[in-house]
Amino acid sequence: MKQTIYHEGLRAPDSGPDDSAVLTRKRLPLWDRIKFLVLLGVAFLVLTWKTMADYEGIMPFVEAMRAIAAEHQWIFWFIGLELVRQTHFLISERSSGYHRFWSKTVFGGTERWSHRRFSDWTRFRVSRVLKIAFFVTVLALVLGAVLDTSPFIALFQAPALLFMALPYVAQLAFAFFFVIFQFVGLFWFLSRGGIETYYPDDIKTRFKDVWGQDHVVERVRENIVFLERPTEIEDRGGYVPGGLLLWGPPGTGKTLMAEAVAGETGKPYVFVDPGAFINMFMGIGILKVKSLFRKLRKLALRYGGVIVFFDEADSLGRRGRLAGQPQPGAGFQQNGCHGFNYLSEQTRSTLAFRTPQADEPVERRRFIMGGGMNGGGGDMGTLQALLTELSGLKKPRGFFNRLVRRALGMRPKPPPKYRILVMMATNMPDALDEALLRPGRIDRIYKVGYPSKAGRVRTYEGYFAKVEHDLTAEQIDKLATITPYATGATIKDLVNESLITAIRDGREVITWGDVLKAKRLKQLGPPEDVEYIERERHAVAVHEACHAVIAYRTRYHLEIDIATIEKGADYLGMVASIKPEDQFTRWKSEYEADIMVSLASLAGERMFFSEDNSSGVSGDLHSATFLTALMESYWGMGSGVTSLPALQQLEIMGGKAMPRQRPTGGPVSITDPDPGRPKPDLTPDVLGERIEYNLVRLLDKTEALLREHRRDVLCLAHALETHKTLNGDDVVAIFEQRRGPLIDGTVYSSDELFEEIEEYHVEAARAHREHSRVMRELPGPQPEPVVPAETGAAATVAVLAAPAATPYATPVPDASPGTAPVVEAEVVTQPEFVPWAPETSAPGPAVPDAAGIASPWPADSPAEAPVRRRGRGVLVVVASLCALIAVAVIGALLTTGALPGAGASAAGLASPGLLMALFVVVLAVVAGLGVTMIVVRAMRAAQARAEQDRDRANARAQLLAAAMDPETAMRLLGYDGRKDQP
Amino acid sequence: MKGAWAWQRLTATTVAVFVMSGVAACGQNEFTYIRDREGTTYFKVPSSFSKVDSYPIDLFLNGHDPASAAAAEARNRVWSTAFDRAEEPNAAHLLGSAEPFVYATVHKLDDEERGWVSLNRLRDFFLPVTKERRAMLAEQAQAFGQQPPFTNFELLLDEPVTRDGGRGVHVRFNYRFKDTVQTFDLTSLLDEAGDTVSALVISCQTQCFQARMAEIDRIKDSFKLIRLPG
Repeated sequence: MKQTIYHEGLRAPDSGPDDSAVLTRKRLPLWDRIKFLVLLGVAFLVLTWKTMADYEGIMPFVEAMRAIAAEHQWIFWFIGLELVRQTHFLISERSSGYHRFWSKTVFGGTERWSHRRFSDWTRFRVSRVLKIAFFVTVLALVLGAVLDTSPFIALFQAPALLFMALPYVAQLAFAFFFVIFQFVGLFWFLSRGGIETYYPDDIKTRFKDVWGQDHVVERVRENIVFLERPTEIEDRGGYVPGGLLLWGPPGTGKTLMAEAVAGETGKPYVFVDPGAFINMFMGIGILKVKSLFRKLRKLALRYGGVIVFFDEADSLGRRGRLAGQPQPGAGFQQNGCHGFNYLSEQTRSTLAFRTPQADEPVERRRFIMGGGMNGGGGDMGTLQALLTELSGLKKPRGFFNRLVRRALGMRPKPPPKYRILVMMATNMPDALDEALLRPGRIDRIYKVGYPSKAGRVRTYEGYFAKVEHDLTAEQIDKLATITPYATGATIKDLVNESLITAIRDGREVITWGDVLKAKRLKQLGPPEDVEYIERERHAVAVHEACHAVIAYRTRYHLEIDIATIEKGADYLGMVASIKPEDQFTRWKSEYEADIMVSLASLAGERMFFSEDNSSGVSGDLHSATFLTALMESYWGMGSGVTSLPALQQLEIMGGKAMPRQRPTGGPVSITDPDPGRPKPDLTPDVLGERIEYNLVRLLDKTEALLREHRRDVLCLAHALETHKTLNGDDVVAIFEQRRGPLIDGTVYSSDELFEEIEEYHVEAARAHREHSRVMRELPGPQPEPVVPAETGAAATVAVLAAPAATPYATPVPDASPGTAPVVEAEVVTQPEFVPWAPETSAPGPAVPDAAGIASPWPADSPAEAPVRRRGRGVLVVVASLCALIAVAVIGALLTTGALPGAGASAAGLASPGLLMALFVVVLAVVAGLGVTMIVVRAMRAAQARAEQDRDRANARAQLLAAAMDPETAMRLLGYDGRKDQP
Repeated sequence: MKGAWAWQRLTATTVAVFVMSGVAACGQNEFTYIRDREGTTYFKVPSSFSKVDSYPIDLFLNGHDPASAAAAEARNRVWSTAFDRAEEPNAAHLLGSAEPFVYATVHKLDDEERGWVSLNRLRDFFLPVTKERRAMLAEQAQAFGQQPPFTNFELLLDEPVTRDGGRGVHVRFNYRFKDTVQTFDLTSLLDEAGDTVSALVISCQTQCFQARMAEIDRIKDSFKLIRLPG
């Protein structure tokens, strides 16, 4: 067996102490030595007594013994066997040679086989079952002898006889208890379920399967060590931490970690289902908690410890909000850098409990919870029962211990130390009751956050190791970088999606391109195969290019991940950014950059379309305003310092900013601004004005920046129009006029091309103004969907593969756009590349192809299909008519006997009446068949039409939704308003 | 230390019990213990007695043809056993033998029998003992012109018995049968519920009976009805 070195010497199950070095057999305790002999002796005495009772008064004890010895010899056989066995053990304990002979030579094979075949636990259970079976056998034999019947029947007869032998009062009591047992049984059945016990070898997950959460794993492992070796801390005056809460976003591996605990520890593991405490009847939850803890105590004593895991612990319900937690939903995290820890206790509590609107619902909720169904999880008292059980482990227990001993004047014995490790996992830690989380119940609270970059790399490596791929370590590193909030679940999903993408393309090995494609698909959803009209395409491209340029020039804390003008489910185009490294603080400069990126669309549209701008900027403006407002009123990043929420809390209205004294910094006053002091600048006083002021200031700045980088904007817009979707690196390559990974940015260094682009823009702007068609073709090289084999990222942005083979040295200045090679390339190579794709989607990247496969756009089918079907229907009718006529003619000929040679046989075969009937039947069958076929075909056609209508309606609805919902667009642009909310 | 001493004592006791019981169990039992089918009647005979088939005696006593339905029905209601001390055990030794012969039977009474059962009936359960019964049999024999098989009746003992909730009689009498005088000792008991008659007959030639009186008495005294608790 592979032996792993575990933390602090903790061993995995089945890697128990090796006793191969021991020379003699381990000494048996005396009870184990004599227990079977005692059992058999008791059986013998019982039978003797029974015989004496049978011959009462005439049979002495010795005679009875002799009679039994003669009659039931099996007892002596058993006793003899046991004596031999014990003698064998005794010698084995003394003589090493004898022991070696028997344990290695004689039983060695069986022993090794059983070790190989069964785990230690299973072997223990089997031996226990065998012992029980032996006991039952002896019992059955004795009862059979006593009752003079077969041992099997005796086993069932005995209880009935016992009952009959009971005095009447006892029978009544039994009946009484039977009635009670009905209720007990009912509730027992109701309180079953939701709790599963796993024994150490049942779960195979180990800590090494938990990736990217090493710091938490280390801590959890420590808890297990304390559970396994409690004396290490108890001898030093400490106590074993008994509770552990893992909280964090979904998919980050909390449950996996708990499973690993179960797999790693040598203790039983009890899993409590999230729904276990939600019951139909009130009070069942309490019973469940009690029975759970009874079971836990039993397991803890039997196995020296037990681990219980409450998954989704928020289902236990809450009685109020967690202390020290200002906002429900915010987790344990404080928005400040130090929480409140640097404040005095009094100030802290004032801050935490001042909020009146937060206190009120607490009171109300208490009453609602009593109502039962809408308590938010767990019925009344379940949580309280859990709390009591958790802290009640140290009280004396048991009927005898507490009552009988007390009655006898003895002090109850203290309970044994139950080693129970309570683990809970939740993604809503604030939904847990405060009392549950106090030290002593839950001692340790760990956040299982989004994995760090190293963790993500490890996770990617782990999942990619399970599939075939040709990614380099750098690519995996890059992937981990560009997926900042990836969790174990999303990473697994992404790898799987990459695999699907590869398989869809008929390959076995995942390439970098598949991964990027899968990432884009996961991030954006499948793009809709919608073609903009040219002037709109240009407008969208300019819009996105403005975002990208400003992002590139100002936003250094984020990298552009992707820029696209392909319409998706809820956006027209987008520039998405990602964090290049894990970053935990945000700065004013960064927010300003964010705002400028948002404002870039407005500034750009106004600049490029002569002060015109679309409603597409609404989302951008919303996020810009939102951020500015927060900066101004929350984060001290504007002209004022006052925190607006604090003012609101204190119900102080107003909020005029006192301009700061530049040299020294001065007192901040809200209520008493100095009226005499002259305003040093144009900084406004009122909050709304301040926000507008800042927005305008930033808008001006943005506009200046855009004017400065006009060429970049137009070039990127051109590239977007050409390629629809660009990766971040390619966007940068265009700005820097160098070759990117997939796109050659050097072409944009040509001034001729830029002139053309500029002309095209002027034309597009005119078309926009006049709502007419753009009379010019898009300048520059057209996309060519040829991909050289050596380019790994073939399918991602296949459009610019051609430069890899024949780079554009200089673009042809006067060549009209849409040159011949492009056409040729399309004609020649496209079918090979995407043989199954509809032709309309060929110019786009491969993602729309995938979508095209999933739901093919039925562009041409509605026009053709009905014609074909109608033609077939006519054919069928004509054919059936022909057949009809033929049959009629033959029938007529037969009936009249005109057919030469047929008359005699016809007359011999059937009468004219019969023939007539036959004729009618054939006629009916043929006509019926024809009619049925026509009807079926018509129905199918109607169904197909209905489906097409539905698809079109869906597409329209999605288009509408995308146009109507600016918030989603804003979020996709990289701003999450909800996330930034404090 | 104290605990270890207690354990040692326990071991010693266990071993001693096993040795004793083993030794005790090794010997041969002095008596054979017999119970009827239902376990309501039991007694013991010395091991020197051999078991013989008692069915011919049942047939002799109730006069059924073995092939008859009555015989089959009687077999369900009647349990019996017989032990002979003779070298060559034989059921016929009941009526004449120089060695003691033990015959025990348990009759389940039907409704009619339950109606007429009385102490006199119990006395006459095996052979005619009461005067009326003997006279009746003598008349019957005379009517058929036969010599009665049992003659020279002598009553030696007649006492009522109450034992284990049941009651009955104990009679001892002599009869001459084929030239030998045989002494019969009959204990006949009706159980507490009045459903079952259990009878034990010990027979032997008169000299033999007198010589072995003690042994016979011991057998007779061991004849008991079980009395369930409650």
